Amino acid sequence: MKSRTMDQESLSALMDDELTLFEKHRQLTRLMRDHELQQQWQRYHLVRDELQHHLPQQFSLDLADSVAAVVAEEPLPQSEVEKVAVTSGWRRQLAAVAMVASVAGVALIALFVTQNVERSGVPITVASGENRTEKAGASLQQMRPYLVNHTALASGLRSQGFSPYVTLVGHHRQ
Amino acid sequence: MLALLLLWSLTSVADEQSFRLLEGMSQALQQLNYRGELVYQSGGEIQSVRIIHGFAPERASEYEMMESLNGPKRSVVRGEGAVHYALNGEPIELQSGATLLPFKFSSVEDLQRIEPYYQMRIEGKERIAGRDTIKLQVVPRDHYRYGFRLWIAEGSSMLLKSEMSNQQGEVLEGLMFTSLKLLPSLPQEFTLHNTLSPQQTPERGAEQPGAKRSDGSSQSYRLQWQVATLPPGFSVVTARVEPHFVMEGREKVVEHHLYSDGIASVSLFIEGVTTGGEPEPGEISHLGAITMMTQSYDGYRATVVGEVPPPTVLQIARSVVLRE
Repeated sequence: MKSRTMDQESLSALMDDELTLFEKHRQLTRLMRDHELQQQWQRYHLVRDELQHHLPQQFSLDLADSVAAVVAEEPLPQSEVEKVAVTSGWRRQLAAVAMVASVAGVALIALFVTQNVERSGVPITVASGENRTEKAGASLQQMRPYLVNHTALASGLRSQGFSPYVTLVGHHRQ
Repeated sequence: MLALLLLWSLTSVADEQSFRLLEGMSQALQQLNYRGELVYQSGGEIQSVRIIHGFAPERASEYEMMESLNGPKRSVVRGEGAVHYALNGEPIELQSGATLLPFKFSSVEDLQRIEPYYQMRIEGKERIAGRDTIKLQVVPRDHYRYGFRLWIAEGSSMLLKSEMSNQQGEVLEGLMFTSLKLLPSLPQEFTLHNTLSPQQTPERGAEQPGAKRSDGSSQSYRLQWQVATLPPGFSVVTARVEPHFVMEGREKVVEHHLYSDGIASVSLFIEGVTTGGEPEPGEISHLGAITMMTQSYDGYRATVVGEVPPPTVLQIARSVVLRE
């Protein structure tokens, strides 16, 4: 009983984003495996959704509006504030790019966050049966423009069962 | 009648129930209105994601909003051909007119196409997110594609859990709803300011007659490349030249091909290179179920990326040739 109470407290803390990174990972892993915890998680969310209206009342799908709203609302990390100071008017530039993007629709803005992907060499069996090992690969930052655009087109297929955008939203590595 | 005959001919390899499950799932994912939270697992990471989905039948338009609930804030909003992706509040624009492609598993022919490469098995029932589901296994017949397990809700046909695994049965990527609320109508978030017009979502074709340059003039782009030997079952879905592909702050002309076997998809990007920058040619990278490889060709670099195993990426990257 005590253990279950602790689970519920951890679950509640997870919902409120009050756990350390380690605890968060541990709790999410348990959540994936524990059916009872999943039901508890669902109940918490139903209650919270009833009590709070935390979703935006309006979510514009206009590209320029969306970009402008994000730029206006999101505080930059401290390291990025310094970059903004150096590249004066970064926000204005970004807004300008967004306006261009809404017309020409073609802009990918370089990412600041360096993220790594799995780089270990992997044995590869090609059609001929040849075995070979490839060396280390690209970082996620290098992959992202390709991955994002691949996802945009592949999303129409949807045959893998779920929107592939979850891949973009679901990945983060520091 | 023809459809019934085709369906009857399939019963020995993929029974009618499997087909109906996939067909119903495809329609549910596209046409249901819902809010939910799901847990996404990939490459040793577990993330919690909030999703809102809507469908406007009068416009045949699908809308979706996803955002990560832990770690750096990532969000995707898509609807009416436009997609907006942001990382830590920093927006990234996708190629113009990310038009949704024709929906799959909407006909018996779709199932016929994948049958030589995948086998369907119904594994029984299981309870997910408080709902009864049917568990469907999609098993690849060779090493050029990954397999799936799909937990599809009885009644709504909503996909509540999925896993993608390699030939060894290792789960590479998985997601599961932890909460789901089906809605009777389009969520409020998608009913306001839907201002994108159809003119902003151009059709994608095999060739673009022309594109506006930054100086306002027009320039024609023709496809220059093709893949000599595609992996079995894969065929081209779309191929186009993207004249304003922005990477590392610079615009580039990039040729983009999308290939699919009816389930898996993989992209080929080809761009001119003048310096020996990263990533180095001939390298393979992994991100969960996603594999990426680069290969250089005398002043050009081919990048292949998709939710496919390394042999598929390798074969495409090494079969790129100039069109005759």
